[in-house]
Amino acid sequence: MKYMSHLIFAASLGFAGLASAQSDSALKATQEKLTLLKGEVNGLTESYLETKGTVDKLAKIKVSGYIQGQWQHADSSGVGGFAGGGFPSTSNQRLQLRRVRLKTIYDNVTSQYVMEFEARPSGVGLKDAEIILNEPWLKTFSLAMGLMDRPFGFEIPYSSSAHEAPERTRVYQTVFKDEKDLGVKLEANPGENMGLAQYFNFKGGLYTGTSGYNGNTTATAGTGDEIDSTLDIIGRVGFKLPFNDLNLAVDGGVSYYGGKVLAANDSLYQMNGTKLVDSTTSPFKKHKNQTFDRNVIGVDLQTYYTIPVIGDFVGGTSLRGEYLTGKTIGTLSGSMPYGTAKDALAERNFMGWYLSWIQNYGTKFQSVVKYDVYDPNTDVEGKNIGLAANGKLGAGDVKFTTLGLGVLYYWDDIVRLTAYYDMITNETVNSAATGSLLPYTKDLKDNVFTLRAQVKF
Amino acid sequence: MKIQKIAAALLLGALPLFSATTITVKGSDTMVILAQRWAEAYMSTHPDVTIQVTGGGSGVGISALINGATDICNASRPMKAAEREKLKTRFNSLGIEVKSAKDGLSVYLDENNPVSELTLDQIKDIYTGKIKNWKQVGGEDAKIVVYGRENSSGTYVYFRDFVLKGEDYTSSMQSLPGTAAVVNAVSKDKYGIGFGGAAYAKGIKFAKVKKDASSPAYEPNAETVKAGTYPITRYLYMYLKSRPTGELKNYIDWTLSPAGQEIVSKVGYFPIR
Repeated sequence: MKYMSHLIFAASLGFAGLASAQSDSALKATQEKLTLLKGEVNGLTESYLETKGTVDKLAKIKVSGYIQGQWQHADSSGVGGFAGGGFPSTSNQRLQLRRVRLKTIYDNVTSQYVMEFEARPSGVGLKDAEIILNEPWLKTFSLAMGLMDRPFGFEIPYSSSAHEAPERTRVYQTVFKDEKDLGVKLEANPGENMGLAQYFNFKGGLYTGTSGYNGNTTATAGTGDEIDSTLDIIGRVGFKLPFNDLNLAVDGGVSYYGGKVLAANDSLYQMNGTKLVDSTTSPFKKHKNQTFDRNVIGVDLQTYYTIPVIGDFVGGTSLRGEYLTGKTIGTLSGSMPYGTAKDALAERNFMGWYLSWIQNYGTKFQSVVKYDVYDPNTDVEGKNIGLAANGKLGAGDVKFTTLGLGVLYYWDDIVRLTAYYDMITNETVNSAATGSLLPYTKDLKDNVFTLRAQVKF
Repeated sequence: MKIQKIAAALLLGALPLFSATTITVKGSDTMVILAQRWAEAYMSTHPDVTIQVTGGGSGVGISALINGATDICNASRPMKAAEREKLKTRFNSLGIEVKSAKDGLSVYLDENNPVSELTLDQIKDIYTGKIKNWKQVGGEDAKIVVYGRENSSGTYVYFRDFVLKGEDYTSSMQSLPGTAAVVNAVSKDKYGIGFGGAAYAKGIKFAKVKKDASSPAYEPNAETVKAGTYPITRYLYMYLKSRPTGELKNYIDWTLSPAGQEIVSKVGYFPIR
């Protein structure tokens, strides 16, 4: 028995030693595994930090773009060019790639690089190229240089991809053709910590002006190249009043454009009563290479409101309006000094305005009603146009109104479909009119229906 | 007869489309537990309603609201003017803001850290990198390890705007994904400091915060947050594209009711009233 107990005791010691050895070995293995895992975690951390550095740099690059494809039907062939360019004289319907744009921004916080291209089947053009400096102290002011939107009104800076109607109003397409110009701009957008100043904003600058388009140089129309020694002054003082508790916002501003146009021709047509006559003839004056003033004043107002009670089904409502008036220097054919030949300049007082109502229905649908008026020559009425006694009054002096009705459907967060109908009415000219003015003795058949698909990212 | 059967089958098949309501909620990580608790409680008494809750950060939630990808955006900071501009462009609305709870935005310290009080200026200086050593605020001679959130977080933005007065965070701050990760890091780091919602208080202590050097120090709790004496008190928000109707309105109303606000307290935040 004693022998037996000794044997059990010895065996117990042996097992204990074995168990202890096994336990040490397991601990060692666990420690090794832990060390290995720590190494792997450290490796992953290093790899993450390296990747993060690269990702942080890449995050500064922002790429966006959109494509607008559309089908349009006009009342007749060859109608005018305010619903996406003129129709060919042989067709009243067309498939069109209206805009194809790609924008790249490199945002380095205190500075930005901006470049936007327009690619069309006919070629590639530059739409935007800016160097922007943001001051780091108040985080309020920025200075931009390059090709950019003219800082005037609401419609110009409101992106073509955001516009609910397919095109900007006729007055903007005429007076501020292509929206862009080459210049230097100062902008102030006070932050939310700036007290009352946060509700106001300013942007304004100096621009090469429209002179680059007037055929006085070999500069390519649309590049905004400088051809004279004068600069345009353009600016807007705006406000944004959010009444969050009422879910109402009221925004607006006052804008000014003061520019000059270089004459490429000795003749200058000016209004004399209800006549548009060449002021060169009596007394004889040569106007070539002189500059003439082109001034525009504008006021704009936008309201945003969600109707109470009706709620999510109806959604937000926006009413927007603008009024522009001033003096344009154009050519006889219109108020745009953008002819390709060395056309004579013509001076006119003009007026234009629009009112639009945009209504959301749930998250998918929007409706838009837009009414705009453009009177390129406020000194005359339709009855004055077409009479030989009234000099060179022509199609460029005819007033137009447009009522647009549209429905928009948001297919998903990048695709928007638009059905829009422009009902265009022109002022009728004197029944004695002949030649190219003859069609204007009646309302032109120039209504346009547009079906557009837009993809934007 | 056959046509009638097919029509009946189609009608029955289509019924669920009209009878079930799904509400999507996206945004603040600070609010994700609160939103989940609300959703669970509401769905238990409204079996015909499904509420899907995801986090991602206030910035992510606001982007989703602007893109129309969520019904409700949770945000631990007020929506910025630039974000409202985007809502205006897409929905012609400033968005509807619902204050759904209060939070004492808390400064976390390790339980073993001898420092227990900080002024707002000291917190600002620590997070902007002007104060780098605990000794400068009455603690041990050790480097301060600064933990914070990623820039998609509403807490990150709120803290920067209201505590740092718009200044940038120190480049040495370690950005972590979620308040829980910040709490976890501080709980394992004696010399760490972090910030986040008051509902995440496991294994750390709250720093008592003083408005300035001569003011009393307050810890975030129901009393100090309600009275507004805790200096970093904020609202937690729900944002909607436009005024809610139907089941969405019922749900929002319920979160603001005594039953919904009781869950706010249980989760660790503070009722709005």
